[in-house]
Amino acid sequence: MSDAESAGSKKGGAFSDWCNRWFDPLSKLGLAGAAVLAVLQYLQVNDLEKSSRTFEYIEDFERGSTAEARRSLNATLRPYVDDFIELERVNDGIRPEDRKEILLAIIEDAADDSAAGSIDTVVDFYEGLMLCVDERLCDRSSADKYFCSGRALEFWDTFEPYVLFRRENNASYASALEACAGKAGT
Amino acid sequence: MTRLHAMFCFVLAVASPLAVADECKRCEKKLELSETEWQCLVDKLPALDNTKRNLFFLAVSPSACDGLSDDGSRGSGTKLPQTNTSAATVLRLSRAQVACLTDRLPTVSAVDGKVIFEFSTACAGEAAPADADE
Repeated sequence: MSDAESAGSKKGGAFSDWCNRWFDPLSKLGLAGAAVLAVLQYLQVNDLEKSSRTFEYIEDFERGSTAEARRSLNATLRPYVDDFIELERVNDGIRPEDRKEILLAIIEDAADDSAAGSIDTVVDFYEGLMLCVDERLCDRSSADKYFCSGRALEFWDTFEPYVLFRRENNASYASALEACAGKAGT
Repeated sequence: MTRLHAMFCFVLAVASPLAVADECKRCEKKLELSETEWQCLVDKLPALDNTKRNLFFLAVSPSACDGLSDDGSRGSGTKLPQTNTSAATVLRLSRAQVACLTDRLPTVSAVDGKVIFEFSTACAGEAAPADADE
């Protein structure tokens, strides 16, 4: 073998060695990078899906059957607003037992159990929402911000006497609403 | 039994539970008020009669009529008032009971500083609340 051939062979061997030395780790690094990207993409898609599902709940709450139920409940209570204001003003509020009887009287007075049905609709809404959040299918942070920190608490505060009344026959009634409102175990 | 008699019994049997079901089960069955509270209620009745709703929730404590607790603040929209264990009792009256009270006012008088008004006897057939099955 001439010197030139020998030098060419050495160069080829060095390149081959270099390839052998770096290809394996580089390919592993590439695979790891691809895996990380795939996970990131999965998480991103997952987050988007979670957000999308949470927004479906927001949509229903603002414009769907839950919105209709809330409107109906407001309409049921509205005729009594003057009484509520007056009682708050001149009576320093009401006793808990009066609060319960007033609320139940109004609900029972509504035609065709419409008020009770509307409360059930909202209660079912929170059951679905909290299940979605607990199963990590909905975004907990958005659900907390939009529903649990204000709206659920307000609904709970208004209808708690009715919930407790229903629990005489169904101990777990509105437990998701209670949890969302931060009232569970209080 | 004649046919007419049978029909009458049928109508009575069907209509009575319906009539009872229309009544407010959670409204007052009997009022037992001091003269001051009664007068407070009497003063409020005319305003109640003009509204279109079925139920009325009234406080008849002295402060409720004097407005002593009025601090100018407003209530909280469609939310029920805040609870307060020391608040005065709130009367729950149906529209029919308010109508009956308004009708019977001239016949009611205080005995030993108290006014007792039993809806089932005073308003027989018009404003007695259904027997609560609670």
